[in-house]
Amino acid sequence: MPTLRDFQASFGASVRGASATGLGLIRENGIPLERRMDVYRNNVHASLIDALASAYPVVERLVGRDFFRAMALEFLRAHMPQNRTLTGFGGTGFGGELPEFLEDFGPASSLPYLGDVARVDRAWLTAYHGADYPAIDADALAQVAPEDLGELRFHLHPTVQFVTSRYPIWSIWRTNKEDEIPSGVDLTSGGETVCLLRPDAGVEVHLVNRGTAKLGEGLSRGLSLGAAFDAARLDDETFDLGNALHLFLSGGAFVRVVHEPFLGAT
Amino acid sequence: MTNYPAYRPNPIPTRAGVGLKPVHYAEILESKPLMGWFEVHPENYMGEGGSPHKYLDAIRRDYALSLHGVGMSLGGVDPLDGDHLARFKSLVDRYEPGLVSEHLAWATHDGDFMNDLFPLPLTQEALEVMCEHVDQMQATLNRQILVENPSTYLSLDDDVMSEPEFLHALATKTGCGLLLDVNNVYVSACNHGFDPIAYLDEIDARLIGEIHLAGHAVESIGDVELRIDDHGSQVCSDVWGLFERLIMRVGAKPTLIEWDTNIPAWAVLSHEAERAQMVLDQNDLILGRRHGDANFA
Repeated sequence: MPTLRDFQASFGASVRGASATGLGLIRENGIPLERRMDVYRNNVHASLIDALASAYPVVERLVGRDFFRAMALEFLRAHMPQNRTLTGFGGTGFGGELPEFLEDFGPASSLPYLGDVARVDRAWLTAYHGADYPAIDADALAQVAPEDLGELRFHLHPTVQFVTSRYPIWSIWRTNKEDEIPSGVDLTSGGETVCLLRPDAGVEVHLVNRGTAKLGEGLSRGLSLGAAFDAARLDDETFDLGNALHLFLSGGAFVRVVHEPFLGAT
Repeated sequence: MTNYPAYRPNPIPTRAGVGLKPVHYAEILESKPLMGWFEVHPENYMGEGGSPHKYLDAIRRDYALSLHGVGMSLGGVDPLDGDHLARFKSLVDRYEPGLVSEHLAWATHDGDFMNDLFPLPLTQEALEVMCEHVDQMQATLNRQILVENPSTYLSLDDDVMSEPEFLHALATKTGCGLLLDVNNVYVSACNHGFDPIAYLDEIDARLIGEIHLAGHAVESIGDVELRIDDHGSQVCSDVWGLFERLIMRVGAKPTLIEWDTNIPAWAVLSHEAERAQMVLDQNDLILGRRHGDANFA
């Protein structure tokens, strides 16, 4: 009789593709051992591929179900789940490495934007499961004297994310996520940046200009509003601060505003 | 063995319930259907926040809730995953479920989580591992858990006891209760050639805290059938028959319809629960008459 540890090691290896002969004596009862093991092999891989497909719905739509399943099986060779849950960990949980995997996946090389599409799917799921914090609204800024606005620093909601691509990533993602028949996207139309926000509990995916992304990234790094605005203006001279702040405030992007001089890193 | 007190707030009623699926959230909140209770896999609510918790909070306000774990790997030879156990506990603290359950199964290999319910050899060594892990889970949650019999596709010549014997020993040593999945008994009985009626008759009625019913798939291998527990269809007539017979013997128990793949419209799912409820009601009626309950005269 093998020890429980030996049995489980053989069984696990067999599920991952090894022969089942190391398992010890199995009651076959008219059904060959390998066919019995196939049920477990199929259960494991099908359930994990389904989980990846539900985490990356736009990637699956772009490449089709069969391609996605074959690709996912390759992905699983080196990226089995490390947590006992498949959801809720965003970029660090099961499937979090898929965008990078896709960029090196030869059969997908004709779709060079696929990794960035996967990044938007991943950001969407991260936002969907992200922690709950009450957001501040425009009233919180109304009491600040205009000359002090530049001093404000914001704590961003943990679900706020930006994805920037050399490709028209928002156009590709949106039409494949929402439209019954995806519309054509001109791949030469230039890069796009998306901003994910989660007012209340619904995830929103916005197309934003370079300046808005720069402002958000600056604020998330702890820059004051004035410094983040200067950086955004440098990058994008048509940048409009009012529009950007309206998007962030109505999208629940800020959980806290601090009005105090920055004393510098210590 | 530790005796954990019966869980008082928000108990699961002795009625039919269904597994809660996200596609049905909105309809349930709008129509507030008559439903005994809901069950969820805690693994699906281990994200930090957002929509899943928002809906579960709202549904929890109106209905009793059961947490049915699928990832604890109680039968795994390696120690339980402390992070997973801590997340499980925080869900128990937050949602105060009426019942908490897990499986007679294991699910890891070389640190990888395989997301399935693998079969245990029914040996003394496996019993000791299960007892240690059930003890640890109950002590961490400070409450009794129910352990469910899995569907299995292979069994070992090394088995030294039957599954009912194993489950009874586990319950005796740890004080856990049993979640008796009638469909799993039927699937395993067909796949291994044992008598499902004899299995069910062997289970001590006092240990049964919950019953599961579900549909399964049938796969033909040559001229032999293998039944696969996919929770993807209606409960089959053989399983309804076993359920009716079981309820006649053990009395009404909280009974859950599981439907996790090819998820149907809410009306189809709730109809399955109504059918289970009729079996529970029928039994109450018969017992009431037998006991001369005035309410049934």
